[in-house]
Amino acid sequence: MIPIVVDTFAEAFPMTAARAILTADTPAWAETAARTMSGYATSVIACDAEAALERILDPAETPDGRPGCSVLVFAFSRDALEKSLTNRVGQCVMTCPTSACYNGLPVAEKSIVVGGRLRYFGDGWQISKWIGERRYWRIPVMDGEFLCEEAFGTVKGVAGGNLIVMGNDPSRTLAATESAVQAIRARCRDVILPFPGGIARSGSKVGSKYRALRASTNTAFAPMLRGVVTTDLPAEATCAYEIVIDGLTMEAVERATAVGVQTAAGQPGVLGVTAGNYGGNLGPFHIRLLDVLDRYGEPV
Amino acid sequence: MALLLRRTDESDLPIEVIGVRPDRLRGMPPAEIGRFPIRHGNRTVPLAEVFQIKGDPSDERIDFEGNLRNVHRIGAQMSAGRIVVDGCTGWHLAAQMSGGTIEVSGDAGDWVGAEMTNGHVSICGSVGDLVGASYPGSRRGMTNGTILVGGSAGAEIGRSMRRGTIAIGGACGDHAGLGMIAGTILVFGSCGRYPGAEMRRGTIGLFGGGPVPLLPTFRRAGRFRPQFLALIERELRRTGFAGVDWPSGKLDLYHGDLLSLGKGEIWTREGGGLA
Amino acid sequence: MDPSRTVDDRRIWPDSVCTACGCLCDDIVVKVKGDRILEAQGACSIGEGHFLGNRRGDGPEAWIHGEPANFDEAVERAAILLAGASCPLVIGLQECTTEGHRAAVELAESIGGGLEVPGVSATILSLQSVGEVTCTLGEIQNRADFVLIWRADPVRTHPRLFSRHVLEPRSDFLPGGRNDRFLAVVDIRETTTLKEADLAIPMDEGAEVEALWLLRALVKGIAIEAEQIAGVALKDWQALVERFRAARYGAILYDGRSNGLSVRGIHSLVRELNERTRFVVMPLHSGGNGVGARNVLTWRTGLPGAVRFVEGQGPLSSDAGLPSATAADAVLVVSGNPMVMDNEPTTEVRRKIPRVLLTGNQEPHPQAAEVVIRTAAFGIETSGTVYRMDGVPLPLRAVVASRFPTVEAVLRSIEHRVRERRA
Repeated sequence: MIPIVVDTFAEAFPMTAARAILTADTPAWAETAARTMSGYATSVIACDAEAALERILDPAETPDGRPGCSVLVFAFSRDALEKSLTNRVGQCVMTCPTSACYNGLPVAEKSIVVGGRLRYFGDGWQISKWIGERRYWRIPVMDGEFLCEEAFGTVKGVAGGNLIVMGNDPSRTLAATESAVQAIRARCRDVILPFPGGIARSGSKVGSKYRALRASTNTAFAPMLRGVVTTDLPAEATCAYEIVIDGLTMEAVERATAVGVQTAAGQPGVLGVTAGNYGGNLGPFHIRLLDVLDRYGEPV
Repeated sequence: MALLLRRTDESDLPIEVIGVRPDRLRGMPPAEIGRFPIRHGNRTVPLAEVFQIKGDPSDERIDFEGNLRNVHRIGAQMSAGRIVVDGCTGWHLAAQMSGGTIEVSGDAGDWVGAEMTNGHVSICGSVGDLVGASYPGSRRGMTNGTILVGGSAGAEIGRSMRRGTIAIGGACGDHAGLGMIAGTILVFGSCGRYPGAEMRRGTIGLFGGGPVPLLPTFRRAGRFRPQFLALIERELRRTGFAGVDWPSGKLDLYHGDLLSLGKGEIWTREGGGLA
Repeated sequence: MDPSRTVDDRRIWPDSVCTACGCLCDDIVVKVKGDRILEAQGACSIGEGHFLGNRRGDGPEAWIHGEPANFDEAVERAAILLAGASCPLVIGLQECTTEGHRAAVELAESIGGGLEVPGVSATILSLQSVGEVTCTLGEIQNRADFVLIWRADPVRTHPRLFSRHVLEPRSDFLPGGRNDRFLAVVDIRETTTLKEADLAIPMDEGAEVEALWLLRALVKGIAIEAEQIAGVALKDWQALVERFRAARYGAILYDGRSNGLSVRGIHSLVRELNERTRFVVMPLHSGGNGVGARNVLTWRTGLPGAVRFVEGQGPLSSDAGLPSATAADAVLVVSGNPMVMDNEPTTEVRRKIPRVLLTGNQEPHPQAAEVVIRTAAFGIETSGTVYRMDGVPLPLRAVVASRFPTVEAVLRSIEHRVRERRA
């Protein structure tokens, strides 16, 4: 049976984004810093930001020539992003052995202050350095000093891009979704997949019967509720996994969607690939699966 | 097309080209440029009396050629554009400039970039005293910008500088960074006596190797590998400061001058501490 | 008013000022017979040499290119030279009254030239950057219970300084005179002054700045790890600092010819000491009237050490101006030693520049300059105002008449000729 790419759209919304370049003496410590600072940052439903490792960087690509990683962080406003990034860099990067933290986006008017806030940790012994057009703070710490850039550039990014992989065998469905994650991470820049391992198994819908909750389980894709609620699952499906994509640009999210959909659809045990939307009420950006496959998908 | 100013006579009397800068002359008709007043000894003379003038500064570039050793204040107070000097200039090159770039193929005299507020100056040869310094009675030297010197420099470089970078490919004289408020001075040759005297904040890197005669009011912190230096190295290489031996290993760090705040730092090559 | 009186064939000048050193002792009784000085009562050995060495100058009043010339010819020649120059420089001015200084400023302005008092720039620069807590010698005389002589030998160079001002005088505050005062001396060699000290610290040559920085640190209570600085044990420096702290009124005197960072260090040390107790600083200047020159330059132009006048502009600073040494195309050396310019590295360049020399020397070298004009000897044959090293102006009286005009008169004549030529 040929898996079906459902003619539907993912519904995405704007979020403010920043990119942090983390470096350390070894690739392992750089990655530790990146993973730690993007912990508890899967969904703004209950986290202060959505963040994840974007890419492992070659020493030649980093500002100080050491091994590094880039991390993208998304939040609802610049203020929220500034607060979240400052907290995350302060608690998770500054604390990480040998680390340094740089801004990975052009600094324009719409930038946020990170190093410029963390500097107070230096208790008066922090040192400012202007290098080129950028300002850095040197904060004395127990293994030397923590170097952190004063300001981080921000862009209006796109969050909530997604695709849902449906199948009849849970392990094969998960394997297929993992392939999609791998493909996106290997081939796409400027995007992150903020959920655990890039995958959400508790996809959500907007709203709840309980007034206090902004979101609740996506009943249309919960196979055990088939028969008691309206379902969007194919008849044989017993399992669905969602990949959520946040990107710096609409195009980046669309490309990643196309790669994800195409990869997942080619895997055994996949009955269909669809996307989550909320009737067009949640976000202004609609990513039509067939449309992005058409534009960015690779010829089969 | 650039404006070319070629000096043809060989007199030693001081010539001061105050105001002969791209941002000022741009859009001026050629005849007016020829009449532009400059100072020759104790007289004011038209530019054309001292220089052969060719081209026009519509692209905000001025080229100087000929005997320029006694031509002073080239690029002083310039705010934009580019000046290219083929040869050696007099004093006060780039003094109080606020933007643009100046390149000199030869040497320059004292007061290069004194009290500059921004911009980029690069000199292939050697320079005199008081690079980026404060003028007498003034509280602050350069407050921003970059001065790159391929050769050596004289005494009191970066006196009372507030911000910005001075990099000297060769040796420097006494009292480098005297009363420095902040900023960065890097010297890749030997260094004269008492670097960093009365410095408050800021960084002095003395990478010539060999002993450095530090004052007793500097204290050693230890041996480290500073991250920020890699960023400065990269930035200076990008702006064309090449041919120097960047230290690759660990560096010795000294804090001072304890007489004045003591938040300044002097970095030397391993074992390059007190003489 | 002429204060002199005549006894027999001798004229006696009371309270004459001696310009041999910066003390400018103003209590010398000079006895004169005709144009010869017989006695300088009260003067030290240097002062005696100064007064008694004066001889009436013989020979021509001027030379041009080594040939004897009369005064008017020489003035005319000097005016042509200076007025025709594009970048003239007036230099010297130490052996000159303030009246002469004024004339020099006016001449420099009329020829559009520079004006430089050599050898004072370090003091001026430190004054401009850290200031100067100072006083008159009278105040030291009355109040200073602690005196530090920093690398100077006043017993030899300013012989009456201790007896008249610094050490021995008794006052209401210091009735015991010398016994109420503590003298500390720091120097690099065994000097006569060092032998008189209550606390003598002989330190290594070339380590002055380290020593001053160390003292400043100790005064501020900053711990220093070294055991020895400038060849002196840390505890000896600490002993000196204890003396600083114990002083009710301290004075630090140093050689006015010092340069570089040490002057800044001394001035800063004194400023920092004032956070605890009263301290003053004073450079020991040599003879002549260099202090007067700085004063005149400051009140006439606002710039103390070096100034230049440019057509259509006010006076410009040349401390940070231009390399005047190589830039001049005519030089006027005002009074005194034509060698003032020979202690600089640019001598060769300057030798080629045409020079006019005004000198009170009794036997000037006719070829010392293109134009040599003789003047009345400063301090003996000249009246006017001179400044003591503490900035107190004193009246100077000519005790002997001269065949030659004063510096002021020569400068005014040259300026007059310059103006005539312009008109």
